[in-house]
Amino acid sequence: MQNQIHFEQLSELILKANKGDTKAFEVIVRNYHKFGYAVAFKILYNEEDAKDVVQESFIRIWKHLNEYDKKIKFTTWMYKIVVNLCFDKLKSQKRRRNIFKNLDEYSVINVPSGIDLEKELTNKELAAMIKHFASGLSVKQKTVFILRDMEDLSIEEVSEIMNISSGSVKTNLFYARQNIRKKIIKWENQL
Amino acid sequence: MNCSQIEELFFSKRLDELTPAEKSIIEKHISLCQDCENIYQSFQKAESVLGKMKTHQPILDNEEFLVDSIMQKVNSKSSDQKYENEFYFFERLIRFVSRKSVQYALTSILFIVISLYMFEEYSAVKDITRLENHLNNTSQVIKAKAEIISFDNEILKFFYDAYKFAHGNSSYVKLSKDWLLVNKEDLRNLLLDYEKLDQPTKTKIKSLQSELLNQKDLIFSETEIGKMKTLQLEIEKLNSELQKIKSRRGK
Repeated sequence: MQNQIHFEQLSELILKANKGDTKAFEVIVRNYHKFGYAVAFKILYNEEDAKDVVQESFIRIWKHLNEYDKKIKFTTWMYKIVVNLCFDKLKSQKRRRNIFKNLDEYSVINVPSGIDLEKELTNKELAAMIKHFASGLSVKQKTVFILRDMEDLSIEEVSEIMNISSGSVKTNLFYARQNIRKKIIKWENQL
Repeated sequence: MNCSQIEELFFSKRLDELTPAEKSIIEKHISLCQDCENIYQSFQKAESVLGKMKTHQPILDNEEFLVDSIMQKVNSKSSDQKYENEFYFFERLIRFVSRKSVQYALTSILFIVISLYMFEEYSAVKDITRLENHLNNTSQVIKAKAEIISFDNEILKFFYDAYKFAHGNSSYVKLSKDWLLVNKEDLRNLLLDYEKLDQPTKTKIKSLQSELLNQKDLIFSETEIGKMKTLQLEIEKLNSELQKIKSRRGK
């Protein structure tokens, strides 16, 4: 996913939005909502939940834009908000699941047969794949993997987003990669 | 590197994360080890799958609807914020004040402030009364002393003569200034009676007059006058202090 606006443009937009310019903020939303949605979907495996998180994230960004520290990248700050809201969502889902057992749309963890990675994947297929390969991992390990290996963020950025040390990122990543690659190889051999 | 170390490298790193040295070690190892060669091929396949997965992003339908709903909420928050800015402070203040603990604290503070004010008022009144009394007493003493000083020698002589005459005492008597003041009227009356005295008595009194003049310095010495001047200054100081306190209270 490519960032369409330059750093200078973004800084200017943030400055304007900070003064209450909603038009400037709309430009930011239009440029970054897909970033948030992609991460939220990969963590939550649910379109509506991911949309809710994106919406809530941008409202939070709007409310707390004056607290944004220019020393860190805007996307890093945004990811941090998205990931935290995803974790909140997962916690509430866990509570809900205790009442309504497994009514999740993408609760199936087997990869659908006949999946072709050369063609565009449906959301259901993508969710099933991630869910299958990441099964057995903790939310932290899975999120570290998604941010580092699927969103291509640096170890330092992941550390900042997850609020954990670089060492912890590497440890979680090592375990997640081992697990996921073994599952991929197993899946490949079954094809 | 042995096989398990090579395997650990495959699973812990991405292909693009391997250093040239690690790549060279792997290549050398797999050229000699068939098992690791197989694992390496699997690793490459897994990398390929992950690479392809990475290119797939979730499809976002109704994208415009999502942006619109975000902006709608942002706009409503924006107008809410304007409202909040105006009323937020008072709302929070009311909420803060309506807490039981805050009410107790405020009542205590109010009680302490009133107590302090009352104490200060009481102290001020006490101070003023004390100063006024002191001033009055000092003024009276000074006034009396000043009156005595203002007596000319002649009158003083008569007073003294009259006193001696009245008491029929020709021996040395130390004349008290306070006594003089208190008995001033009586002495005046005695002085009038003196005029009616016969000549021998008057002569006797005259001899006593000279004695009185000698004692005058003992009564109204320079030291005594100096003390009185100091007292005058003290009165002025006390007066100004009193004025200050009164004006402060007035404020």
